[in-house]
Amino acid sequence: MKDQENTHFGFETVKAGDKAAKVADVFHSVAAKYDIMNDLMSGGVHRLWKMFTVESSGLRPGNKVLDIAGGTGDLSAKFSKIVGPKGRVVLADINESMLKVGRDKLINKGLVGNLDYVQADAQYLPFPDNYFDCISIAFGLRNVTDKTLAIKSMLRILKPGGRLLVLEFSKPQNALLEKAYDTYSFRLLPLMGKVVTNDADSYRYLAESIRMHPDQESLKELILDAGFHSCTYHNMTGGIVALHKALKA
Amino acid sequence: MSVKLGGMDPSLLALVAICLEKALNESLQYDPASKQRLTQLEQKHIAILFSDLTLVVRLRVENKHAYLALLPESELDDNKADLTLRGELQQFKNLASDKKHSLAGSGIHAEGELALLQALADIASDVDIDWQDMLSAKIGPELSSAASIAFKSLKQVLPSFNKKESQAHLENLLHSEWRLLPHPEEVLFFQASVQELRRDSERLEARLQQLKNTVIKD
Repeated sequence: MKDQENTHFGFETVKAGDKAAKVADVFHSVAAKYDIMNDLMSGGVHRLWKMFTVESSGLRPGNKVLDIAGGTGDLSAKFSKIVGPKGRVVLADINESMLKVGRDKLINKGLVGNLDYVQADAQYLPFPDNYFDCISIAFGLRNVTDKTLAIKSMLRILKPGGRLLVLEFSKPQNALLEKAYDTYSFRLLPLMGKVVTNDADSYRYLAESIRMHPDQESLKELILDAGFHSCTYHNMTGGIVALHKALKA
Repeated sequence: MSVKLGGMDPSLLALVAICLEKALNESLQYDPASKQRLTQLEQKHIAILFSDLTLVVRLRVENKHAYLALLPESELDDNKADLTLRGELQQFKNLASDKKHSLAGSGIHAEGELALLQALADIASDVDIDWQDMLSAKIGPELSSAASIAFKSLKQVLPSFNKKESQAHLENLLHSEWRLLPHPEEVLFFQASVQELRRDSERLEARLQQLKNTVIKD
């Protein structure tokens, strides 16, 4: 039975059916200080990664965009301004706590009118076929239990010619950088998590989940196998993060 | 040899874009007329491909705020713009310095809404940023006024600045100054004299202190 198949939760092997609940616990725990921790852990560089992602989206006024695992709404805020009052941005997240933080943040910024909020599982997206011009998923795919199922779900709801943007941690392209990154991830990150949020385990999961995620080429193959017409990627910050961009035929 | 800037790490490109965007918008704060003219570009996307640099500069305007992005060349066709200009850096420089801003014969290829090109040219030719006011906000009104005067003087001098003449002047100046320089032995002698003077003054100071102590005891 599918629920009895195993998958990974960081370095831990768990039943596939249990992963979602474990990931949910992590994000319930980190939601309140998610933005601060992002700035702290990346030295603010995550803003540059997201900026590049937004500018690569090709969105125009009037477009419809789905921001999956949108969490605290960084990308949605920018998409909202680009698509304008005639467009639509849907911020979707499986985690209620993250969604609430995101919704409150965007409302406080005065971003209302073209934004909707949906609690949804990336594997079973509740939208019509051929609906969105663009779908983004930033730092969320590695938390999904069945990535292929999620990518196929995204393919279904994209319009022909629509694009999928997957921004995710990946494999550094330089051996020296990789060593420094390992030290940083496994020693400093949990310590930061302990000091700032009193939760070292969640940030240990973060580091472990990154190592278990497919590398650049493997993810590209996964996306193409799911049915996308083409897929390219850009390495950022030496490959620590990669933006995969795929087009639906 | 041109540098393929488009091949740079996208996070670096994004960082440069943020800095340029901030500088652009801050400058426009001090030229309200140009900022108002930006409304002609509202909701429009303009892409400029520097083919020798494999770099795309994308400009869009929303609510009179200019947004700038630097992207690799591969992103040009994926992200359709309302106006796309393709050419080499030198061709764009020549176009900017040409008073008529004429595309014909420039080597630059334009596609899309050509009316936007006119709007861009209007904005670029009429930009009148109040630099003194902008500097004043950073360094104070007195210093900005002095900097403004110095800059205006330099602007008056520069048109008459002839490269060959100035090179000859510089050579003459350097030659004259070289002739006026003291001989190295003179410098060493002067240095030794200064050190002897220092020693003498220290001895004198010590004697005065000794005398003072003697007077106090008495």
